[in-house]
Amino acid sequence: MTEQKPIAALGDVTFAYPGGTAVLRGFSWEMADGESWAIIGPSGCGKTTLLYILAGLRLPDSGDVTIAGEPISGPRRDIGLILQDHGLLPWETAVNNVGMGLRLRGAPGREWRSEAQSWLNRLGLGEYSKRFPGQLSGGQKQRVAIARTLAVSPTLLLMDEPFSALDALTRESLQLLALELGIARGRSAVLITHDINEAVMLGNKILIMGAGPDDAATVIENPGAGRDGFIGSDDFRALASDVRSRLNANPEAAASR
Amino acid sequence: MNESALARLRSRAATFSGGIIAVLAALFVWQVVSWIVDSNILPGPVPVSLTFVEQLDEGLLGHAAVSAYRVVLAIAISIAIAAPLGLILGTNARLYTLSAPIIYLSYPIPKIVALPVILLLLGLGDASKVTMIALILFFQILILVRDEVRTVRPELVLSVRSLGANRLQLLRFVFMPASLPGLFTALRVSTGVSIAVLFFVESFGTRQGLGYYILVESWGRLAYEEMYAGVIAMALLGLGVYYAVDGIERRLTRWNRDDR
Repeated sequence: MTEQKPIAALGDVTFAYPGGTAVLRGFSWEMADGESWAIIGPSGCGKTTLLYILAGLRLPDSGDVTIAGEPISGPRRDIGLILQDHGLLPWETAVNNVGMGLRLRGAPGREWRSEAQSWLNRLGLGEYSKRFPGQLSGGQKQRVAIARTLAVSPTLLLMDEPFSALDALTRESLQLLALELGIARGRSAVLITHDINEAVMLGNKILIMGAGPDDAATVIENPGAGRDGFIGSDDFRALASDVRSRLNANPEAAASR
Repeated sequence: MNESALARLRSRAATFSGGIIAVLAALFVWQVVSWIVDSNILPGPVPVSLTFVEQLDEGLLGHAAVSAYRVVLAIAISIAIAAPLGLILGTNARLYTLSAPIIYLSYPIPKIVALPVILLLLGLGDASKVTMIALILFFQILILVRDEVRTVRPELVLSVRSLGANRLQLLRFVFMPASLPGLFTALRVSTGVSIAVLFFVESFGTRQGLGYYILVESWGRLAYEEMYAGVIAMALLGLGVYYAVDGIERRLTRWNRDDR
């Protein structure tokens, strides 16, 4: 790995929800440009909080958060967020949802519409552009949500269990789509997941978080991610079982998935 | 596409034929009761319908137009004030908590008790009549819009904020559209009440409107057929407002339909 300025960095970050105990305590971490991180850990370990802090949706109680070298103070336009619950606006059609980011930035109607349509075409949803989210399947909705985030060309992509609400086949096709879109292949991304195979498939670095704010987090290098033929290979399986045993080493680990 | 158009046509035809059956049934009951009562106090549907048509030309249409104007204006004013206020209270936890006791304290008070004050401040003319109706609609809209806004899932807000929306854009793209079903429910619930109140406030201080026509011009001189013709006009006005509200709702909340 070459030396470069981290695209995202947390220094000694502490965060607690109002009236609750700390979710993160003295947490430090950084990622280089072009890396794709999979973050895995038991429920309630603070993974989603970590993602929201990176997205600028939550501010830490103490510590430094920098994105591209700048301290973060709120949502940034160069960060894209994809949630498990797609978060599409039910009253907007697919094409209007995909164009939302550009609309919010004041793009003229013709421009954002054609941009949104071309993203829908690219993700295989061209003919569904006039449908409302309620008229789409779970997988289609998540594709629309992905298109909506990518349409604003974020330099850092944050995903909070984006595929976990989908059935197995749909999940697999979207994981492959994520690879196609550059995850684990040079696009800077952070993926929160419960799914060990997904973490090994999409993260060149895997961060295993402990159950409590004081448990140390482990980082596993996964240089094979994103390479053709890696999925299902012996290396893949070996790494997956390594991640699984590290998760299980912690008795509090989520009902070993 | 074609199939759904056909289905829509079919459902419209069903609604229409359902309406006709309902009207026929009501007319039948009316006729039977009028035979039983057997008095000029309750004329049957046939003479009343004839009088209705005849009266349309002789001023009834004008009275109906004035009443419609007052109701529609009251609806517009109450939406213009209550809907934005509901949006603000629904999206601001502190204002919500502060305002809730005030709203719940004043909501159950029959608004008609404010009539003397309104008359004193606004006079006997249209302003006081419209204000009275708007006041009744105001609370319904305020509460339903406020509560509808509070049901918006946090994920929606987070995902739109992460796309770069500021507070005003959140209102425009998230909270305002989310409040529409509540707004229309409020209008549907309160249309009946507002027309009943219209009838009452039109019974004084005016020489125009269906309330005046029914109470003063017809009942006052024991012209029962004309009085019932006025009642029909009032029912039709209510029907018109309901259908208009439904039609606009269908247009604006296409996403919220059952056939999704």
